[in-house]
Order: sequence, then C-alpha cells, then structure tokens
Amino acid sequence: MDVEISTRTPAYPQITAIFDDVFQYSEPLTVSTSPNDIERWDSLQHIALVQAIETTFGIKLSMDEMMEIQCVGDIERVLRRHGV
Amino acid sequence: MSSLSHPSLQHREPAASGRNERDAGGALGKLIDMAIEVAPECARRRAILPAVDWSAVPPDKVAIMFDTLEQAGVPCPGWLARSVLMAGHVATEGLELTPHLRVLQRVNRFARDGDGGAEIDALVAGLIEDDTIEADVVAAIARRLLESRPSDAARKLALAHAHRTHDLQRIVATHLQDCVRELPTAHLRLTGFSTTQLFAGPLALAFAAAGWQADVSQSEYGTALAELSNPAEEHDAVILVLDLAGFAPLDWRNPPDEHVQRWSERLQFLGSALTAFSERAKAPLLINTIPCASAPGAGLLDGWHAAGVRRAIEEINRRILEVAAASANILVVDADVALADLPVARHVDHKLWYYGRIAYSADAARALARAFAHAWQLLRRGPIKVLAVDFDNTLWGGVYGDDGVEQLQCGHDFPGNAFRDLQQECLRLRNQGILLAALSKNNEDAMTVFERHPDMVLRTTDFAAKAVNWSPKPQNIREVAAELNVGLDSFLFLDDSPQERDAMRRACPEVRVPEMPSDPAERPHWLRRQVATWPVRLTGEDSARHSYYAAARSATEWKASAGNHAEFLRGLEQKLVVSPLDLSTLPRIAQMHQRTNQFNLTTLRSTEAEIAAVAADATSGLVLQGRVSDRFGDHGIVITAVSEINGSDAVLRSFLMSCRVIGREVERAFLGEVLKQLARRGVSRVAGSYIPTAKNALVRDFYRSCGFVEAEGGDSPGTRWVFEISGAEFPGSPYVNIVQEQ
Repeated sequence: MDVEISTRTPAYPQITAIFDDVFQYSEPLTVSTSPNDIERWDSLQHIALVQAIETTFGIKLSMDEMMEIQCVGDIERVLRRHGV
Repeated sequence: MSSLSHPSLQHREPAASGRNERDAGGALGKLIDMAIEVAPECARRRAILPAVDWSAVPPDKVAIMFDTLEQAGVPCPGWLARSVLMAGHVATEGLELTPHLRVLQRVNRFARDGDGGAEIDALVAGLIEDDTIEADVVAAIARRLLESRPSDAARKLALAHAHRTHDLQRIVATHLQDCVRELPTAHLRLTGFSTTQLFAGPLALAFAAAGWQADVSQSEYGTALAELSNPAEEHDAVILVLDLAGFAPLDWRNPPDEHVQRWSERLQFLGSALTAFSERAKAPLLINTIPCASAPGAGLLDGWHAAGVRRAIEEINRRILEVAAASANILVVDADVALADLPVARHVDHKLWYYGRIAYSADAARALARAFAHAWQLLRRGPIKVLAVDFDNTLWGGVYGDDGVEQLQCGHDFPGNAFRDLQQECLRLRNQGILLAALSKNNEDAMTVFERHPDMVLRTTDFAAKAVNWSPKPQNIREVAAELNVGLDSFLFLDDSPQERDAMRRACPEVRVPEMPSDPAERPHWLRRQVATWPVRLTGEDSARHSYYAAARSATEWKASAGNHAEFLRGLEQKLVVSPLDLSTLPRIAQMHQRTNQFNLTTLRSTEAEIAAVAADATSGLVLQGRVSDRFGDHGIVITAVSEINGSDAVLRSFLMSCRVIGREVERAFLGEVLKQLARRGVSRVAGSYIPTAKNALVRDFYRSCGFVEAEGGDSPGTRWVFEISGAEFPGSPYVNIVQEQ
C-alpha cells in the first residue's frame, strides 16, 4: 500500500467511535490501522467489532466479509460495497 | 423519504455541538435557507423539510422557520415538530405536542438553559416504567440529559430503556460505572455449552437496569457440567446459557435412533449435574430453556418424529423443568418468552456460530440477559405483595357514579368480557398470594357493585384492604400500606387514568406504576406479562394469604369494640403451634426470609439451601416455625427462628415474624419456646443480634424486653445480646396458648 494512502484517516467518522467503544482505542485511526496496532483486537473482539459495524450502519455482513476485514481500510471497502 | 441525502444532512449529532462546520455558508446552507423561507409550502406538501437534518441547522434559523410558519397561519405539522425536537432544538411556544414530545421539549430547554432541574427529574421518573414511549424519543431524552446534566433519574431512565435501542446501549455502556456505583454487587458465574464471553456485557447492562452491579466471571470453555457438579462457593449465582447446537450437536451419519440416543445420554448427564448442583450449591442457578421458535425445523414430522429437532428441544426443556421443579435453587427462564419481541431471523447470527461458536445474536443475548436479570431480581427482592386497583374503567367499563350498577360493562359479552378477564387475572394473582387493595374515587357503596352486579368475578371479600372514597389516591395508598403493614415498594398500582398514574408517581415514587394499555382488550395479556407479579415459587401460604388477612381484619374491627388492649388479646384466644422445620414448609420459611422487613432482627436473606443446611444436623442447628390461629381463623406460618448450636452456646442467626401478627405478643411466646428447646439440647447461653436497617427499628429493643442482656462488640454492625439460661425466666405471654408438635 502506498504511504500517502495508508496514512489517510477513515472517511466514516463513525468508525472512530466504534473503535473507541469496542477496543477502548482512542488514538487517531488510519486506513492501515490493524490488529498489529491494537492489542485488544483479537479474534473474540473481532466479533464485537463486526456486531458494532452491523448495528451502527444497519447492515448485515457475510462470513467472507468477516474474514476480509483485516484493517480499517477493509471496513471502508465493505461499507462502500453495502452502499453506506 | 426524500432524495436530499447529503452526508451532512444525515449527520446525527445535536446542534449544540456546533459540528458540521464543513458546509457553513456553503451550498447546502443556502438550500436549507431557501427551504426555511418557503416553509409553509414545504410543510403543507411534506416536501424538502423531512430530509433536513435539523441538528446541523443553527437554532436561530429554526426559530425563523417557526416564525415563517406562524405568519403564514400554517400550523406546524407533527412530523416537523418531532424531527426538530429530536435534533435537540427548543420548539416555539404553544405548539401542539404529544405528552412524550412535551417532555423532550422540556429536556431540550433544560439542556440549553438549565431551567427547572427538579421538575425534569419528576418528568423523567415518570417515563422509567413507560414502555409506550417511542424508543428513539426516550433515547434522545436520556442521551441529552446524560451528555449535558447527568442525574440519577436520567441514568435510571437510560438503563430502563437501554434494551430498546442501540443508541442507548452505547450511551449506557459509556456511563455504566456511574450508573452502578451505588448498587449492590452480584457475583455471577457464567457458563454454557458454547462461547459465552460475549454474554458478559449484556448481563452487566441488564443487571444494572434491574438494580445490581454484576461482577461476571467466566468458566473455561466446555466445562458447564463440571461447573454444576462442583459448584464454587464464592458466587452469588451461576448462569448457564443453554443452546441447542452447543448442547446436542447434530450428527446424521448415525441412524436416527442412535442420534436420539446420543442427545438423550447428554440430557441424562445434564439432569444429573443439575440435581448434583441443587444438592450441593448454596447459590441459585439460572438456566434458560432452548428456544423452540428459532430451531431448525424439518417440516411436518418435526414435532413427533424420533429424529425431530423440535421434539428433541421439547424433551430437553421438559427434563430441565422437571429437575427445577424438584429443586430449591434452580430457576428456569423461558427462552421463547424472553425472545418473543425479536424476529426469529434475528435470534441467531449464523456466521458468528461458525466463526466462534456464538450461539445467540447480540440482540438475543441482550433479551436473554434481561430475562436472567429479571429472574435474579425476583429471587432477591420477590414479586410485589399488593396489587392496588382502580374501579371505573379499570375493573369494569363505565363509571359507577354516573351509570349505576346495571350499565357497568363486565360479563361474557363484548366489550365487558375484556374487563371480566382482567378481574380473572386479579383473582389469579390473589390466589398466588398477592393481596388486592381497592383504590377507587367513588362513594363507599361502590364496593357493593361486586355483590350487586351479576357478572363480576371479584367479590368484596377478595380485597384485603379498601380505600373507596374521594381522598387523593397517594394518601389512600399510604393508609392501605400502613393497614396491611407492607412497604410502598411492594405495591403495583393499576389505574386507567394517566393523571392518577402521574400523581401516584410524583407523590409515591416507591410504588410501581406501569403504563397500563389504554385499550381494555390489551390489559389481561399485558398484566400476565408484568414481571413484577411473577412468583418464584409458590407455597401453600400463598393461596391462603388473603384469608389470613381477612382474619386479621376481622380481629382489628373487633378490637375497636374490645376496650383495652389486654382484653383484646385475651379475647383473641390465640394458639401458637411450634414445630421443627420440615421439607413441606422449607419454601415458606425461605420466602419469609426474603419478604420480611419490619419484624426481622438480622434481615439475613437466607435461601432454602442455606436454611436446610442449618436444620440438617440436629446437634448443630435448630430451625423452628410457628403457626398462629385465633378465634377469627388461621394466620398460617408467621414466625421462625434459625439457631446454630455449638456445645453449650447457641446463636440466633435469624428471628423474624410476619407483620400480620405484630402487637399480639406472639413473638415473646415463640422466643420463650425457642429458648426452652435450646436448653433441652444442653445449651446454656444464647446470643442474638440486632442489625438495624431502614425498616426494622420496631425490634431494636426486642431482646432487651425478653430478658436478654446487651453484650460487648463483635465485629458486626448493630447490637449483640445474650441470654443466660440458668436461673433466668423465659419470656412468654399469657395471651398465647402454646401447642407442641414434633
């Protein structure tokens, strides 16, 4: 991923709130923020993250999308696909 | 809705935060200015304005819109007022608003100016039990208060409605520490046959809403049966979240018979583990049934075929219920009732099951957690004790004073049959031990309706107390509470009038005042679903309780004519039957420990298992009970004492008596009998303590009055008392005739 793009902040402000709620993570997010940066982002909290995305945006993610989400940028891509 | 959906138009923060600067003075701002300019036309056609996000519009522009409407003589439509209020604005004065939106309007003004805080608290308190308020409106009210001026009332409101919207759940989760700080702690052990980790959060929220701070510890994955067989001591309750896929995995490689045999074996293990738990554990177990509605059905044979999934679920549930019915400390939550308000498709999120063996969706977890919290609350605080009911348009249709007896609606035909069914529900509650109190603004003769109208189900004698007069109901309910010797927090008040309900909430905040549906057809079903009326366990005392009160009332009426108190007591011809605890009365003795507040020396809320443990060994424990009767009838088991014996020393762990027989010297006679029986077992010194609570000042000097001597210290709060048996005179009463029973 190109450096300029990977440091961009997420286009959906709600994602910041979700990360604060789910991981108590309040550092600035970039699209490349991933489980490597957030200690609490383990496989169990990943479920809580998916649930928070679903309820916040009123969408239902699939099993594949659950696996696809590896960083904040992936969340954006999934949201755009759902027409959010 | 309209297509005007720029992201900033959908921005959902309140206006006060001054966000959305991105577009200030930009194209969008101009567009909204234009819409406001032609507001009357837009309002009439419901055009453009519905798409505006008012939280992004400054208050002065909102004011201009209201002015424009007023000048054009166009009344502000309800939808417009609603969306402006929801966005946090204060609407112009004199607008027609629904009662709930009026509260929102007050809250918005309060958040802006800080005016009228005490008023706001009373208004907000009125919404706590009101489940007719729209979820997003109550969420807006609670959120605004918590973010601007948090108060206890606001926290309670948010907790009470948190299960209804995600928005509120988020807010409550962030304020949870403040919400639960003052609450008693419940140490919960969470276990199950699938992953239960994500249940802890919903449990904490649900318990907070029920008035407890939940401290949840998790069992290791897959250890549910071991947890039950070897219950740990340190928990207040064990919660077992049961699900079908985790408990009885499907394996169709085997023929159907073997498949059934597999889960039958597992069911036997579970049954044995539950039985082991109920014998060993002191803490209760809360377990849910497996929900039927969301089960993977397999067509027309599913309910009866050997391999039918629904049949399997029903058998599993029946077995759990059987074990629970025979156990003193297992409570079963009906999952189908708990999940009834949730569409079946949302009970399970299948990808989460495959990802991490998560058996229930987040929504279902919240609903089940709520049901567990209700069960816990009922177990610890008990159901209500008194149902106070209004007459006109509540127990019957019509107004007695205006219509006369014949015109009142109550019978087998529409619409009187709905009222008749509500009376049936009242009677059902009476039979399960809840006292009925008549609370009606009427001339006193309204009470005769029950005898004069041919189709009334209730009879005058079904009411344990009556306040039929023109005094304010809060005043009447206090008098009824004093007469029945029951605290106001044990009352549920049913009244069709919103004004009466509101007045009651303001004057007596302890009384539970649910929003009864305005449609009489909805009420019988609604009353059945009032959790506060659900019994945890029924004892023989419950179905006879109303007759005990009738006996007490006859005695009180007679007392007025009996001259002095001694004459009254002598004339009562009281009989006290003292007997040791037995299995059939154990539930009643435990129930008395949970219910009794006033005549209770230590207010120890012992469970059936704890009391049975003391009584099990005659050398180290003595549990006695007393049944009282008098010339007016039987009062049932009304007094008990739990003592622990250690050689020549004994300690009265609890000594408590029902308020029905306070002031009749029964307690002196009973205590004397307890001391004599302890003496017979070689005890020479009996210690007791008085631990003060908000409600038991009545018994502060009880031990002194019975010949006990105050002793030093101990580390517990309250006072300690000692009775030396040698040479002392046993307390007793000349007005109570003791009958021994072994």
